[in-house]
Amino acid sequence: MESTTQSRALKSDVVLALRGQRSDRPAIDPFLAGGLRSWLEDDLSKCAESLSPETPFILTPRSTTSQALVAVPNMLALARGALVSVLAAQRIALGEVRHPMDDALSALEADPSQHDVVESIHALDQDAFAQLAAEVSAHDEVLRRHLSLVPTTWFPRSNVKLTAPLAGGRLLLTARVNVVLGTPSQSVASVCFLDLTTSLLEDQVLRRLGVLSLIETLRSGAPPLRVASLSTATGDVAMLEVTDDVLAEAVTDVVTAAHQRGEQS
Amino acid sequence: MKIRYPASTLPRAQAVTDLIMTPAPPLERLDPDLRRVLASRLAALAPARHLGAVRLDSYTVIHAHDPVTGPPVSFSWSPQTTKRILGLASAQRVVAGMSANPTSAVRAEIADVVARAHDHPTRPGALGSWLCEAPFGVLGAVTSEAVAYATDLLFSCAWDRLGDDAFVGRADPVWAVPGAPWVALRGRRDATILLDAEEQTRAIVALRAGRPTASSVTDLSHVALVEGMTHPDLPLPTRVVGIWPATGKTICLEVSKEATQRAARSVVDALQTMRKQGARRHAA
Repeated sequence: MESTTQSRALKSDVVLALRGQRSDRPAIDPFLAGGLRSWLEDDLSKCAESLSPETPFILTPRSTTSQALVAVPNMLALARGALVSVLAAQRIALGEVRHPMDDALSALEADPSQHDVVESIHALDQDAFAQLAAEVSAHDEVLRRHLSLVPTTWFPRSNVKLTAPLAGGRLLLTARVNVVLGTPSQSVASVCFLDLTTSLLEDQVLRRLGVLSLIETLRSGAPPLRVASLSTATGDVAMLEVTDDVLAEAVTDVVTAAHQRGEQS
Repeated sequence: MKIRYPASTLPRAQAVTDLIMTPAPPLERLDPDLRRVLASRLAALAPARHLGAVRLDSYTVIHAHDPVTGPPVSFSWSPQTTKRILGLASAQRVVAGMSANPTSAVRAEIADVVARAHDHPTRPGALGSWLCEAPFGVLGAVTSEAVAYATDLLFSCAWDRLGDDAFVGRADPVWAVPGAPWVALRGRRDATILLDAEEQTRAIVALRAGRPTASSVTDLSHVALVEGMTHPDLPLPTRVVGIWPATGKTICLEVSKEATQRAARSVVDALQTMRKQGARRHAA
């Protein structure tokens, strides 16, 4: 992936790096999204024949770029991920976090869809709970470094769901992005994504970000400007400049994954 | 049934606005006979009052025939249930020029709701009372969800082009069934755009979650029907524009007599099913 930059040493200002200079933003090719969609529709048509729109086949950036079926993380890892995710949203929305574990847990408790995660946290013994709280504080320290000074004029929003239905809704490319910045692209690319992970950045992170960029391109008609993944475990950042090559590679990844998963199921 | 789509050119908000503002001849008012028949059918089908209020919005009408799994879930405030109320009020602030962006608008709106609840204590179940007692982390989640909703709405259209003719975030129209007022129709819509002040023609914008499905036209028709039921003195809305921000899709239903008739049939069918299910649950 030649047209990408990866900075595992970018320890601060990931948000500034994502936004970059306004004058450097690339112009949008208005026909790009339509071309990518046609390419995907053609290559997926055979694989989609046996699917129904009522039970669509769902591909995420992670499942697209992993060779094997993605293993379900254990409950503690899920809980940590959920807690850190709501803290990121809180930092973007309110600009501060007072008590990382208390704030995050109360936010999860107010969300009925997180009932199982909340139950698993409350089921922890005192030592395990204290350890989880310490971990969450450490992850939040990375968030504080990167997300404390996001101007509201950049239209920051959190936990944004993106979906690109293909083959008449038989195949869905979906993703949830932790942080989105920027207004919808008009003549130049302007939207930026920041994806968070509480584990280490995996080898396929750039390909995963490429698929994320593809989903946004299909959804909005314009590719994002940049996408990045931040590991709150290490503070490492992987950043991707979105180019035509990146999107073409993502199309190949999606088609390959759809065929592989189709054969497996 | 006439469905239209915006041009796929960028920027999308301009294309959606062009679609909203396309000139069209004014429609007639909702057929008074349809109104009478619907009122009478719904009153006859209304479940017993002691089984609780029935609010027939698009969602309940479309999903009325789904198999019932588990007991009914009672309403409670959460970041998800507050996002539309706060998001709409905040979008209204931005469109009116009172706030510069969704984040500052949501913060101001929450501060206002909390201040009102402090100054004029409301019932314990009210949003203001809940927000007053909410921990900081919950306020963070509430703000985050509302900002996302407001941003989606603000990015969906070119509001500056619509100017004073756009009314964002007014309360959803609700029509209580005469003779059985515990049954009510509700049209979930996010903005109304006045197309011609003299003719009172208007377009309705409805933001929806997820992606359009086979039942999306029923959803948009329902919004048109409720608008007609609650404004009998006005012509039917010219069009209902459904926007699905998560997928970037837009569907525009050009409202017609057939669309409202079909929506009325869906409501009757849904209430019939709900009555049967309620009776079954009561018997069990």
